[in-house]
Amino acid sequence: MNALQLRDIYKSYGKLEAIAGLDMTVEEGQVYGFLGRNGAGKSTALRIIIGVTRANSGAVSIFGDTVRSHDPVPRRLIGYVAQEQHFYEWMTANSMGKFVAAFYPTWDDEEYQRILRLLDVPVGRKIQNFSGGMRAKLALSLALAHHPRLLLLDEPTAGMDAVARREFIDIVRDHTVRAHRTTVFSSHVIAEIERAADTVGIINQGAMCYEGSLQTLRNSVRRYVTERTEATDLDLPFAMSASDASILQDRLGTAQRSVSVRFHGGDIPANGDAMIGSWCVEQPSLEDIFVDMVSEAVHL
Amino acid sequence: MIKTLRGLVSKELQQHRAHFFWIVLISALLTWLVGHFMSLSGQVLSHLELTAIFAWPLLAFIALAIGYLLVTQEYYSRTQRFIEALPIRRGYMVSVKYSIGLLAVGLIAFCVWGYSTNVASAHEPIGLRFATIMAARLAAYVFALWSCVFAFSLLGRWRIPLVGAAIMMVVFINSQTSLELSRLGPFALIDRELFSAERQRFPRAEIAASVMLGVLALSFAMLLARTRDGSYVESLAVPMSTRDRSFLFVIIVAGIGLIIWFDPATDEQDFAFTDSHVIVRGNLEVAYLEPQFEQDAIALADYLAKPLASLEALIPLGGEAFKTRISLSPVAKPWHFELQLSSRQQGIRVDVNFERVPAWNRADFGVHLIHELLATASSNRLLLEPAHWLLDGFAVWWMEHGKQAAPPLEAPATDFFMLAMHAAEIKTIDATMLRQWDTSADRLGDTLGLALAYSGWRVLEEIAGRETALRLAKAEFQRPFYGDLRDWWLDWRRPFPRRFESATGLSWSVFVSRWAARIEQVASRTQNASVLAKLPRVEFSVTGAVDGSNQRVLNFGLELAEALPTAMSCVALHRKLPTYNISVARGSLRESEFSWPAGQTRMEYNVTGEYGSDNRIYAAVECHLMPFNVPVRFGVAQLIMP
Repeated sequence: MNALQLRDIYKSYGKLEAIAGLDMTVEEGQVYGFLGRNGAGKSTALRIIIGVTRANSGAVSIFGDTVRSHDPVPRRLIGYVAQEQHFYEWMTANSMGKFVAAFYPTWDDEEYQRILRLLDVPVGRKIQNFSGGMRAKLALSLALAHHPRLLLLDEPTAGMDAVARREFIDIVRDHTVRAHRTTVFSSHVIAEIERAADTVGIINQGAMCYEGSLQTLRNSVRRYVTERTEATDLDLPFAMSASDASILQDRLGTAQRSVSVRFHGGDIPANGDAMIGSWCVEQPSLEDIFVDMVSEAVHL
Repeated sequence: MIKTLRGLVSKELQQHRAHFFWIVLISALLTWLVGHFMSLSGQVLSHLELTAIFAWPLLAFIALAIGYLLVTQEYYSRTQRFIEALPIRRGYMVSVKYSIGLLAVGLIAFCVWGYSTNVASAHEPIGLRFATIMAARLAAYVFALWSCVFAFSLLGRWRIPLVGAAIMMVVFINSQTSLELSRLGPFALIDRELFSAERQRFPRAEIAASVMLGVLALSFAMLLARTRDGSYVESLAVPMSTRDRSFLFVIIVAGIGLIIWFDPATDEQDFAFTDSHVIVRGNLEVAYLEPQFEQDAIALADYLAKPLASLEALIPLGGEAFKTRISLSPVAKPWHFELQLSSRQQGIRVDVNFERVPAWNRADFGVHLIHELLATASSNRLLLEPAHWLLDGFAVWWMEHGKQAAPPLEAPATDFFMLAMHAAEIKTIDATMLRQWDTSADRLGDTLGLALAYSGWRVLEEIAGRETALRLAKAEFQRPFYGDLRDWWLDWRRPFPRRFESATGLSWSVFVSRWAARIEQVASRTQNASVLAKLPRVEFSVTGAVDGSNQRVLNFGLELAEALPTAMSCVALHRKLPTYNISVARGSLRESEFSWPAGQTRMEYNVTGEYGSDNRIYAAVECHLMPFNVPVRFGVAQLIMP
């Protein structure tokens, strides 16, 4: 069963098109890494999912039920951690828990206290004295305490140091697996996604440009590098049809030309991993793949 | 849903309880202060006015503060995003904030009303209908006020400039157009006089207009809060940028320029007599129509020139402040002085019938001119209590004794001073009577009022000397008058008793006691006492009734302890009062003359069919008092016709 499905979502703010035909499918029990550059539309997509922002068109369904914009009921199934934590500064973690409990029929105060202890969040201190990391942990505690079936995390680790970030991701991962929840984890940091996610969705300029497993993505992309000559500037390493493969990035450096190619169907053709003429073949890292997918072509 | 709403309400109360505590405390303090100053000023007809004074502008400021705390602060701190992500409907947060604000503003307003009603009920009857009318007025006003403030609060950084612009617009429309906004919609509901005096008419139109305004403002607010998923309000809730500030600066400068451009003072046309039939004596000009009136005009000009010139020498106000133009108005009644122009820049112009009228007293006219000149130069500030009596008395004193010192009070009393003693019997001289001079003078009528005020200057001259009296006149009438809030500030900083003490070296309270004692002493002299004893003491009453033909009758009742030896000519004075008017000029009253026959202790006079049901009526009776041959007021009352 799909925990979350977005179909052909469009959202624009005046002339600015934030989401342009986004499709997204998250299966139940997955940790879904939602990758994209800053401003790619990740936060807008998540806000559309929780019903805070109204899409211009398209459909959102959560656990099979179509969600109407601004309908608060499906939000009870969702735990949401926003990119920026706008808490009431005068509250403490305890009073915040009491306040939020009123809105969730499934609120579990024992669970909330347990997570606060686990995350080492001070319960009696005013939030105005919290660090950025502590605020994110509090947000996570609030998001988990009502046992949500779907957890949406919108770049929750922004502003955290490396240790805190890793700790946070481990907790999310562990919690998702243990409680068999579904988590959508948005980020522009590849390492985070690699560590946490089974499946990844890469969004660029409001549209999904890849959705699938990380391993498949890794296996389907190769980078070919050669020294620049008149001949190599004009040709590709091998002839390809649009149905077989697509060029993700074609970089013309001062001395080198590199072409990233994504092979469709998941498998690299027999000659894909071999040296072709002057072209050397490399297996790019996930970060390289991401950069190639979402950045503009470079011609120096 | 209940749990959700309870959660939101409890959050708001928890967040703002300290603020609300301080707001309630400040409101209570302001209520007490306003009530206290109202009592001190003595310019208040009803304690219910406290509610109206509080409602505008104090309650508006309190509502703005509540709006900031509940709404603007939420958006400024972006905490509304946290609420939006919770499983609640978008409108709940805004609705809860609106409701709590309405409740808070309403609670404060009704507490103040409850307090003022409680105080007022000791002085005036407050029936169920009147209470219902006031409650409906206040409820509709609170709804309109809070809805507007709520809408403004959503406008973030532009709310204060827009509130300022709205107030400026109201002031501008009020001052520059014939449309009187203060008598419309919510402003009419909390108008001081209307609020405390309109006991019968249910102000449906004003309530409907206010509710309509409130609904419009609320709809605008709700629409704004939902526009672009609330992001519009969020984008407004950021501090002003340099560009915003520059834009605002340009708007303010343009607004001030517009107001200056529209200022009627700049459009004021200079007035000058163009006819050749004008007698000129310094700053005094007397215009006449035909050559046969020339001698009357010369006589009048010669009579008035000296007191006016010497007054200008004593109190040089500069410019054209003492410019006095008098023109003949043959159709006017002999004692009727019609002020056509009064301007600080151009002095005054008066129409008067000075053509061979034996009943007309030139001295009375001189008193009138001096009174108007000084009042105009002060932007009518001198007409305000508690120093109004000082101007009334001075005008007479100057016409009588401007050239030389007054005779001692030991000398035989003049008729006018006898009238002052008679007036002191009717209204006891004390600080309260003087502080409430308008009410006191209204009871006494013009002649006795002037006589009593004049006696104050005579006693002052006797106690402190002529130089001191002149020093007081200079200090009081030559004060700087700005015609704006600065006057209020200066009067508040240096109230009349302090100014009096500073100019004369006499304690105000001691002077008032000595004044009362001196008048009593002079009145007790055998010769004066016998004259005063013969003056009629009249019991006055006035009632409204419906006669057999269903017409409204205004019934005046006058009663004497002893019958009159000779008949007395009297005049019943009456008029319909607008619901808000409290100051009634003698010239605006209708007159019904009647005679009180000799040998009769009781006199009744009816005015039939001139007024309708629920009309507010002002009624008084003046009779010609012998041997002084002046009109004396026997009583005054206000009533509502059944």
